[in-house]
Amino acid sequence: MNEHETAKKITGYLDHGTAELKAGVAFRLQRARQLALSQLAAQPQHAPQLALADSGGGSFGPHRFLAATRLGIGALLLVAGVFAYNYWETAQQARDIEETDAGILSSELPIDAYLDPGFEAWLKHSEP
Amino acid sequence: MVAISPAAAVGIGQQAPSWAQLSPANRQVLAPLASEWDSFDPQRKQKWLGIANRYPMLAPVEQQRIQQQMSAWVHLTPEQRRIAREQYKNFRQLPPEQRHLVAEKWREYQQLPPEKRRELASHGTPPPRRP
Repeated sequence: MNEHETAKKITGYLDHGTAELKAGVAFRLQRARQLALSQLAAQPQHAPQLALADSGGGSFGPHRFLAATRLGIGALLLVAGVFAYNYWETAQQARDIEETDAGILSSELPIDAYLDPGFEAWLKHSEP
Repeated sequence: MVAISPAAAVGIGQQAPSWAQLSPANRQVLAPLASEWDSFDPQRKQKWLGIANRYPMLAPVEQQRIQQQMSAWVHLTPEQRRIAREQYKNFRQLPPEQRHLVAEKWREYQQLPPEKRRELASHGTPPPRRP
């Protein structure tokens, strides 16, 4: 028996079964079908809303709110990170300058030695 | 890029004390800067306070050098300080024996006649030696 014949046999049994349904059962089935259809008809009103929310435009649904919150938190973290990096970098530069200046001032060479171009030339001249 | 002013970056709430507000120990270390201290910006004050904090850990000879050179250092132009920092960083990388040698060369250089030093400064290299 092929598929087509099997399907035909099943629909035959189903038709036979429905023909013998009592009036009350048939009414309840019809009502359930109408209810299901009306709910199905209501769904397209929601679907575009979600689609628009996902695409970043349209009405302000819960998904849109969540996405905006995530984006906001991400932007805040980014800005905070940039500030923290700038702060750290500037503080690091200040420490570096402090250490260097303390080194220059306590060095066995006087400040003039670091600034005298003649001394630099003299050192090059004295190199073996 | 977000810019933070150096003074703000030193730390919100950190103090930029006046000379009178400094501790006696800091006043003693920073004595050569007494007359100018109150005109320094907060960042500059913080740097000198940092140096004052390092001061007790230095050898007496280094402490003496710091105090002798402080006043001269604050009167340099920003460009001169930049050059000195660059040169010092090169000097610091030398091994100790070479640093001593450079210090010895400085003393030799100081003994040169002024015109010779001027010549070196203007030409960069000395004229060839006479046989």
